[in-house]
Amino acid sequence: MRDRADIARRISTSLGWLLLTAAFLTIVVVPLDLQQQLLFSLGCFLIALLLFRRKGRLPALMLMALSVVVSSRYMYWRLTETMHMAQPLDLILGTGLLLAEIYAFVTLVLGYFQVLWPLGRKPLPLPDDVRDWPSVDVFIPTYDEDLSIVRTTVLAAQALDWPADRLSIHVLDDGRRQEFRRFCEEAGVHYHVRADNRHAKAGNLNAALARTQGDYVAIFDSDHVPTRSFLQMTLGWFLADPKLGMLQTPHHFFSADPLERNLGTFGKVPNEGELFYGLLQDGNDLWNATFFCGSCAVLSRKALEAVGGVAVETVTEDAHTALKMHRLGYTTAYIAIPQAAGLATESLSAHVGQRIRWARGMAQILRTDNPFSGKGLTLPQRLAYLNAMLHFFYGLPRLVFLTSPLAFLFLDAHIIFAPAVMIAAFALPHLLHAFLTNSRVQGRFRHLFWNEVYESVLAWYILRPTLVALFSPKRGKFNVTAKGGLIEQSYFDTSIAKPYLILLALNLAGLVVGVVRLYWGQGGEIATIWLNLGWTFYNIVILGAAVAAASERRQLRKAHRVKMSVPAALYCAGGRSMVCQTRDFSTGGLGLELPREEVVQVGDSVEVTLTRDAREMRLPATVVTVRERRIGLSFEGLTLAQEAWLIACTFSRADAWTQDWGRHPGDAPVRALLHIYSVSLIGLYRLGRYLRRDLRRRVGRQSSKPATSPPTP
Amino acid sequence: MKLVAVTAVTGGAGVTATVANLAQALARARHQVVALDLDPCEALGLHLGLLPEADDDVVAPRRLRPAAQRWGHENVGVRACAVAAEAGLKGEALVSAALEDLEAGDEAIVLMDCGRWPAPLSEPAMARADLCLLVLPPEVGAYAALPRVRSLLKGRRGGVVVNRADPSRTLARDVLALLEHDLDDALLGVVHADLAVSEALARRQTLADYDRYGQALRDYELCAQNLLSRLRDAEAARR
Repeated sequence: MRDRADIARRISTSLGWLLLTAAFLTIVVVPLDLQQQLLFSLGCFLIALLLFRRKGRLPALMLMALSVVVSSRYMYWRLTETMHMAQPLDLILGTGLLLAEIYAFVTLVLGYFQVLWPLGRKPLPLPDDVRDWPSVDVFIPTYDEDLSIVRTTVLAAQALDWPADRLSIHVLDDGRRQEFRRFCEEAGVHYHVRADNRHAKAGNLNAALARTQGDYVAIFDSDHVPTRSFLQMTLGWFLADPKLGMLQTPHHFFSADPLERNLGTFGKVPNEGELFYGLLQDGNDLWNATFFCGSCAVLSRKALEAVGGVAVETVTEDAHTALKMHRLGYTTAYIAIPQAAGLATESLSAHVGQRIRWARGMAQILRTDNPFSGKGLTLPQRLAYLNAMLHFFYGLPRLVFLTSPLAFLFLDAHIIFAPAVMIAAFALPHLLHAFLTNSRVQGRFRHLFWNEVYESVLAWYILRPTLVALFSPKRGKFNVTAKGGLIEQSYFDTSIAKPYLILLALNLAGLVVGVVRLYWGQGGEIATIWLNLGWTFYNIVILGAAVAAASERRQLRKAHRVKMSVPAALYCAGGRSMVCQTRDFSTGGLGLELPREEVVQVGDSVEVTLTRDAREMRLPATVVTVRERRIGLSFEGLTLAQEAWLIACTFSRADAWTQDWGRHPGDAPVRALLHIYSVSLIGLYRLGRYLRRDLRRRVGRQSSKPATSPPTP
Repeated sequence: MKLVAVTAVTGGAGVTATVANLAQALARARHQVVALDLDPCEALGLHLGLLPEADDDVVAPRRLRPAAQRWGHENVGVRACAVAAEAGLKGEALVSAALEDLEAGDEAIVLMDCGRWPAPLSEPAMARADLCLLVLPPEVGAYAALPRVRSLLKGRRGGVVVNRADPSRTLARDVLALLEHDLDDALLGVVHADLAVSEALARRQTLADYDRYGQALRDYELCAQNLLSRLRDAEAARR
């Protein structure tokens, strides 16, 4: 009986899928004339608008389904109706655009698939008896980072809430620095160097793996400071699932990355990382396809040894290691609670360099260990990996989109063989649905249009490494990103901005040509000109924002402040005390809000009491700023115990990062559009000012040359 | 009346200062408070703003003569009970007579300064009290006296106030940690060493008037809150 019911259910499920597929294909391929297509699009869009405002997961799923239907219809029309070009030039350029669009379509659909149902995994409690907790090795690999950065991480690792006999901390110094060795001895953590530096970070980790025995390995980049709760939040899942190979937590940055700093969006608009850690990884988790990201993660030694240690074949050893674990049937997990934080890369060139490495690594994996072939992966896992790797090939398509309208405006090439109104009737719904759906699904983690800006900044740089890696995966060098420096003067990074300055110039020229053709041309194709003008205008807006990203803003404060409001007590010279609240902290600094003014002066030596686990310590400090009731303290000459205490009371707090993370207001398409306009205008203004200054300097130099002799060095 | 006896097992623990500041903290929280001095040293009046030489009444011996009705700071009633009373009353009878003489209402909280244990009146006062507080400095000697503290609190409702904690010194921090660990639930609160306490005394001001934002003031307020909640518990248990 049960068998029969089972068979019946299977048949009905299959039938349902069959019907659904048939309906989908019908909607996609049915030919409609212009009026019907417009009506159909309008209907779909109205439904989408209604769904957009509804809360919950079902409306989001329906939005995705609608978007896939509308975009599929567009792609079908593009493939079947719009490629009948007679001119070779049209055909060549048109094919280029079509390929770029296919890429965009595939990543759109894969993107939806990836975030169908973010898992939202919660931490699992550990056994009541502490004796049942496993042993953990904490690895802190370092190469050339400053000791002042690394010591914070080490002291925070020592503050991890874990039984002391089951926790050992290892600094893996590929830089072989004596001061590191001395510090580790003083702090009481293990210090490792190895004979050579083969395979960079991956090799470093593997060397340490051979010298340790803990059941689990927690890895922190030397500038990722863990909170005290990190291990308790993560290890519960390993005890529940013996096949769990890796658990990742978000990479959170408490300083602005160069794009955020230059665009002035830090804390207002989600950055690139937030989409990945806020949504994509959580979405991957459903498919058991969480990637390892190299830091802020726990790995099981058993699983690591099964895959032969951290992967060394590619420059993104982390993602590759997780892929190998997946192939062997190990699971991975993701907990979307920031349990560590670090400094973002400092300059735009360093930021670009880091992205280039990721892109190269992903392209290398695609070539050497293609997730779409090979054993051991489920289909969703293959799709998730494919999406992650395809993502980094956006370079060429992005450049195609940024130049496509110029083909018509400059060369009169018709790269889409269809009347402008038909293009509008098919393409606009496709774009609008994609915008709307992504805004709804990604809203808290990415605002509309910013993705285009980020990609436009990186497109040119990412293009070559990905293509090189695709064709010869062994070539190219590993570059380490420098962090924690200063930008002492605002300047315009022309060397980085050059590609999009050229693109911007081309698009501006296209705009002029278009307007000229509109008013003084022979008439005809007015709609096509308008269409391409609109496209060009959009490109200029995006490129303007990209240019804004390249004008490096001055950054003087070395330490980045993090908000923190906890009780403290200030002790002035003479023994009087004052109960107060902290405002923020930074490496080596603390901001206080006092109950009244004129308590201390700049330069005063004071002591401040910070409480941890209902215990207190007084730390000596100097007053460095006084602004009414707000004062800033600087700690210098702390003993190691005092420094550890300070870190335990600041960086290590379990809730140190949770309030800032993923707390952006949701996306509102119109507001996002206005914001991108304003940023773009600022970018164009800064560029104009820079060009004027540059011009004046050159003119000045030329005119003054004959009069003065060059200064002698 | 809700009776709270305050005493210590080591000298110089700060019983009188604790009584005075707790009484003020309770009064600021709008409770009716009377501080009753059962300590032969008779310093409580001073801590509450009364100068002995200016107010003969306070110390004038009469038959079991509590101080003339004198209100010190704000609405804290303070009575000094001249222990050397020639009336010849002693022990329990003296305490009972002193309490009766207060004519305090049911809601009034009476804080009895018993001085260092064993003082002439500490046993009878503690026998009558709803709560017994012990003041303990975070010092090695005090830690060594913990067994006595325990035996005193055994079978009684009460708690320990750690007075003059100084987290800037390592030894004091460690002893404090030991005390906190060993006392556990018995700990009522920790009062930090704060110069403002003695400076306020020297100026004959209340701590709150002298330094509104000081750490010790905050600590006394927390202790007062905890004291109130334990008094409520005691009352609930009695019913």
